[in-house]
Amino acid sequence: MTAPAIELRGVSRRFRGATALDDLQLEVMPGVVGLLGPNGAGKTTLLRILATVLGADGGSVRILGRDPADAAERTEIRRRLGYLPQELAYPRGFTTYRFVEYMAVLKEIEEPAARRAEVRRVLEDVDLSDRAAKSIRTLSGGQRRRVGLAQALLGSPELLVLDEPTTGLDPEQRVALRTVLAERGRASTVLIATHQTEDVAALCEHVVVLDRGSVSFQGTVSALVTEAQGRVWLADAADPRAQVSWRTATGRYRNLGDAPAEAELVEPTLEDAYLLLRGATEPEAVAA
Amino acid sequence: MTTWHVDPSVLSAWVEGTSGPLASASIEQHLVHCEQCRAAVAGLVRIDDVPGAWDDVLAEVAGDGGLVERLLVRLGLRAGDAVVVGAAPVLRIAWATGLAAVLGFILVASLAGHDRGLAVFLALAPLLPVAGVAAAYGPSADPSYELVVAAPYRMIRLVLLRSAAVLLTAVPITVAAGLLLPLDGATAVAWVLPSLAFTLVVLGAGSWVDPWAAAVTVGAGWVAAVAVSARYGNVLAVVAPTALVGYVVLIVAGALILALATPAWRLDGQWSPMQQERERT
Amino acid sequence: MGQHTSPSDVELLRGVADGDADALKELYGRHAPWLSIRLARRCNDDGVVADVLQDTFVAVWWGAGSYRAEGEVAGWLWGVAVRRLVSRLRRRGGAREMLLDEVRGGFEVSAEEQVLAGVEYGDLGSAMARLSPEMRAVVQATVLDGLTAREASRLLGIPTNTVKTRLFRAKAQLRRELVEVRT
Repeated sequence: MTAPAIELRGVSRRFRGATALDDLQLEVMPGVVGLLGPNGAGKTTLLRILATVLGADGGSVRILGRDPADAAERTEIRRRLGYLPQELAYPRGFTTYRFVEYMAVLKEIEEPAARRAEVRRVLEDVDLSDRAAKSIRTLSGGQRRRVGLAQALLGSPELLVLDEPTTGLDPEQRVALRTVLAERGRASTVLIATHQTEDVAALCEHVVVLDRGSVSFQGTVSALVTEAQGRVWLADAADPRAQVSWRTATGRYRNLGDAPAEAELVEPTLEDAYLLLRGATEPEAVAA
Repeated sequence: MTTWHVDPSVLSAWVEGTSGPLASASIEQHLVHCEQCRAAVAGLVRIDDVPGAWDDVLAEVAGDGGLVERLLVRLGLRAGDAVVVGAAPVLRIAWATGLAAVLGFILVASLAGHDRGLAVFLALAPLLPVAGVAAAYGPSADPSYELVVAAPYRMIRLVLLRSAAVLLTAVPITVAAGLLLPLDGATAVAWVLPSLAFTLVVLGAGSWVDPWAAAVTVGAGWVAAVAVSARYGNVLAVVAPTALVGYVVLIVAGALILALATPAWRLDGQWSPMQQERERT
Repeated sequence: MGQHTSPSDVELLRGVADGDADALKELYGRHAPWLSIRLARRCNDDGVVADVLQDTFVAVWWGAGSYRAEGEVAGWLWGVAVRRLVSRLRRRGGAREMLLDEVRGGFEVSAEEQVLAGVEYGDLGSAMARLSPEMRAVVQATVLDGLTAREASRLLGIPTNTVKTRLFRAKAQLRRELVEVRT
């Protein structure tokens, strides 16, 4: 029985007045895990706590079996951690290569030749090798995101914490990225916070849904999708009985909610399941 | 443009290293002028066999940290530490030009009358290293600060390395500028003590608050003190012997706090609380 | 960069001076092969050749602006490379890396090579062939490779005065031979 990579019990975190995380219980096993949730649900706060950048106000946190509140253990966590924050800005005057090499120094890859090989490897993984000598200022948004991802991949960390890794990537790049992440997921733990349910569906076996600071669902993707079974149907028009409906590419309407008896049921997607889950806890936010 | 080209078998022999010296010299002179034969050589040489692969060149070219880093390595710093220092947002050509500009301003202002000049010099000189240190790390100065925090590299080491670089560049230059002014030697150097004291205060405070905020507070306080003593006719009061003793005490205390607080160095743990308060979910 | 024809070496060098790493890569592809061979013929240590080649192109990256458009880029590149070789050999403490002809077991001038020499150098070529290997090495280093006497002495591992003496004698002998040919 492998140990969980992440264990949070009763974790809370407040900011001036607002509660970001409230009595959060979470257990994450090795593999690729998706973290879904609307803005304000606490995804970024949770990821920051996991990246040891923020501390929890209450509760117990164990990352890779260690307690980040203890300085020595915190450093040990950081040695095995790769982190891509939601907002990443770069200092001026760096080329792609040099920034990643700087990060490699901060990750304690001391030997210069090994460091260069590692920098080249991660740049290769994110397909930025031909941009290595270019100043980061000249890169597009998606390319800058990939630089951030490259530095997170340095050292093949045991725990990868990625906040919106596919933002700004076009569909081909997103698919290429999924390959890299899937591979990492075989050997380590990859936690991806994202809005893109397709990424979660394509990559993750497990998913955690966050809502107003606590976990509203934690389990396999298929389990979540199963909960939406029988609650998704197609019609020629938006069904007023549905919680939410929208027009699809074929011209027909997809409806989610309590299906009427004669409804034309279809296989639910992860997006459907997620929206239904959200609708159950916060109907006003989801209704069309 | 010659139409003569090297015979392929002779060229192969040259590549293999078996051609005689005269033919080789001849070929080598020819290659300098003939693009076609150079291309023929490129065809004969297996690219994997070319020593000094392109990747290594690119690594050196793209990874070069510029003058600052190379200089530091030349001075004996380990390559990794040189990268960390060179990556400081403040330590670029901008630092040198900024330093020169401010010093220029101080010199010009100082020449505008002895007392006023002295006040300007005493007000600004100690704050140069403080500003440099505050601009070397921290959430305000470093856009990638979140990543620096999340990395295992000891934050205290980063802070001290960069601060040392700032001090070692700013202090000698400012002392030299001070000696150029019509000040007596002691005054031209005495400002170093309050400067060191304030630097340590900012470093220490930086574990709780944004170092930039600490620097601004300290700087404002100092300028006020200089202005007040100038108003009361004796601007040198801020560097009077009694004051100097006070700064020495501050320096010792500051160093002690830094040393003792290092294991629990809050910066190493997380963002400063002020930064955290600004962030929302 | 030219769209229809590939850019000239001069254009590439200008690109490198502007910070275009792709231009450097193209230059590398065109020139690294022959430079590596020419270097290898002056130093039998592959590791040193590799380092020198790398140093050369890094130096080109930083120093592309110092190319004055006189002479071929290839010649300029060789100048950079051979000086790097000399300084590296000097740093290694004077170990003689040079391969002289006699070490490699002498030479025989094949018929093709004689023709070659004749085309490139005319009568001078065959006159050169009659120089001793030591003199020829000095002529090659100074006249052909463009080194100063001091640099040549480092490359060949002999004292500077010896270089100058041999060069003097070599030139004298060549002059004698050419005069003889003419008359």
